[in-house]
Amino acid sequence: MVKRIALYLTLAAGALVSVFPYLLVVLTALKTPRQLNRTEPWEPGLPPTLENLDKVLHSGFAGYLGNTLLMTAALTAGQLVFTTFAAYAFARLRFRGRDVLFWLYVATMMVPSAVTMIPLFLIMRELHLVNTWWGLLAPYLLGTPYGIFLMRQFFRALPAGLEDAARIDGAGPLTILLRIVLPLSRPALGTLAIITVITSWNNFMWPLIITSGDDTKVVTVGIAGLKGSIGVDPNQMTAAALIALVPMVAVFIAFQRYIVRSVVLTGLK
Amino acid sequence: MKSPRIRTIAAVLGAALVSTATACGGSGDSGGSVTLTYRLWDDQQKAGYAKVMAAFEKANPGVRVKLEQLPYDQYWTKMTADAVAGTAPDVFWMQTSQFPEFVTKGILADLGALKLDTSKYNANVVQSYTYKGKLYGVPKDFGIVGLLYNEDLFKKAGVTMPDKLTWAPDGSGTLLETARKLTADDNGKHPDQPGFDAGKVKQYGFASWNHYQTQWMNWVSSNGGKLVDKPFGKYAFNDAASVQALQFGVDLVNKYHVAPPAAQTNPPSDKINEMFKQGRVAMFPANNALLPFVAPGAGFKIGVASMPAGPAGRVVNINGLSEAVYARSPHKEAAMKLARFLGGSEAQKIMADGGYVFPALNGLSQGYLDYWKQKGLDVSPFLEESRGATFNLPVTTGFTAFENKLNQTFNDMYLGKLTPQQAADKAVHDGDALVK
Repeated sequence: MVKRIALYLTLAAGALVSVFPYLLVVLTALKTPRQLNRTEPWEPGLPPTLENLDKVLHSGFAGYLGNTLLMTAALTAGQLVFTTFAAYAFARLRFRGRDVLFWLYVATMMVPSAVTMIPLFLIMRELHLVNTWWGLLAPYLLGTPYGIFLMRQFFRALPAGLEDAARIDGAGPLTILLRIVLPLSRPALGTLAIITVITSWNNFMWPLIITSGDDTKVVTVGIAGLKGSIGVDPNQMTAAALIALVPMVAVFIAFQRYIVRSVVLTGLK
Repeated sequence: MKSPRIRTIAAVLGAALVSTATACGGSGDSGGSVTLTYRLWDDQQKAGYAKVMAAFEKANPGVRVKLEQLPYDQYWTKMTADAVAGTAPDVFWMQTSQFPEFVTKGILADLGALKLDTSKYNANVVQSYTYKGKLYGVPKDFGIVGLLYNEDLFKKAGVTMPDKLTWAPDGSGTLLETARKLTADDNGKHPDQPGFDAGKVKQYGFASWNHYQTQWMNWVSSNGGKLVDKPFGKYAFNDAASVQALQFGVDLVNKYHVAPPAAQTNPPSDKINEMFKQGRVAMFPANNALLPFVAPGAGFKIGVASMPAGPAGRVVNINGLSEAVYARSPHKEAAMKLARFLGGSEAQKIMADGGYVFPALNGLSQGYLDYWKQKGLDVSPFLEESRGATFNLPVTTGFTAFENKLNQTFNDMYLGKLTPQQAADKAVHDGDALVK
């Protein structure tokens, strides 16, 4: 009994620590600047105001939200298509150097992305893709090592007998992949899609570096832009953060099963 | 081996990539029209510049301007990367602390061809962007340090703001006197009364903290000290007058207890700003550019006064921005046209009347005063100060790398871990080592 209480107390403390920052965002976004200075951070401002949200949405944020949506959709579609092909090849097709290639590819996950950022920028410049949609999408559009690793592990766990049976019936690799393997992989595909949606939505560094115009600006960069050289408007910043946060919280609540499964499947986060 | 279907998909994809890539690369100069890129970092001023650019486009058919606003924290990192990569914007904001790095590397275009009459602009700003006798930035605006104060707290304490605030290293003068009256502990005792508890102060009279632009550089200059020996020269703020002035700033905190302890206010904390807005600090030296961030959140009437005068008189910091033209811009002619327009009265009037900035072009400040008057704030002391003695931030190479070290050293000084002499010697030594 005591053990149980201790456990729940620990869990409650952990939950408080993780949820409190979000609570602060919500409370601050709904306060006027004056209420912010008159109340403690954890107190709600009464009456709550929608002025900050309104102001942020009318200062171009709606456009940034659209851009983020477009980027997320494109990257997720690209990830699903190309990762599936690559992972299937690594899992089932036999060719020379397959495993070496696979592990080399997966090993790139060990290199911090900050290291590759500058070379990547220079490559994009040589391709004249700086400040374009293609430049924004190119590095992630063709699948990521994480996704390929996830899907390969899943494909390998599928019974090979099914594919052998299909091959006897005259199916080629593409038919097997599309008709047999993919329908069986729905849970893994779902997981991959959600993970990609979340990482693309939250991506900040690459969009910041490669693009600068409003027509390609994403919400994360937009939020950072609210911090000026001399002053900060915390109400507006949290209002913007709230706008960016809501879709992700919705995704998490609706699909948390899949997110947990991705960790179980790969042992990676 | 490959099935025909895969080959078709690959071909289609490849073709799509190639065609979009060329479509993106080809935009720009087609059809005799030019698109310029203009980069800034301020989210609020962006709205004003949208109007300015509309006026420019109307006056210059065939030239379009694309506004790019970047987060300030990443503006300089990205500008450096773009300058190296050759992808910098055609016209962009420049500030004094970064100017030496950019001008000495040849990134900024010489604006001599514009033949601007520099006598019509704020002299501090012109001087800040002059290198080897040539102008490399069109003066855009100026910001000046003034004293914001909480009128409600003054009224409650029965104190009136003196006509002229003064200070001296020995603690005489009206500033300290006024600050003492406005500082009170939980029992309502003032710092010069017996039984005052410095650990339980409810309200502070003054904000003295480690901030070079609005604080110690002003003390140093108004005590006859020097920041640098000459523009693009070496640091000099470890002379006797400067050290005395630094000591005064520290004394306000640790000896006279009229300002919050450094442990709370040292940068990168923004606490002092919050404390003023919460009504816990009565007087707060600030740049006028901070007004849009202070005024809406303050639940009291804000007053504006001139900065205190020291033994060498009142000498306050002026810091202005300029519009720089990229030396390797592919549309240099159009970029110069834009720079000229931004320095003209039409553009600067829009920014002044919108209450964004004091324009660098003389004679347009009334619009800025009117804007704030309508918000219930008399900001004329800022303007009046700008006509008196002023000083520039140190313009010399390596300042950007030095800034962090300087702040760390002076944090220790305000905490009392280093004496002002030790801190100034260390800072000057560190700073000089970075001058190229």
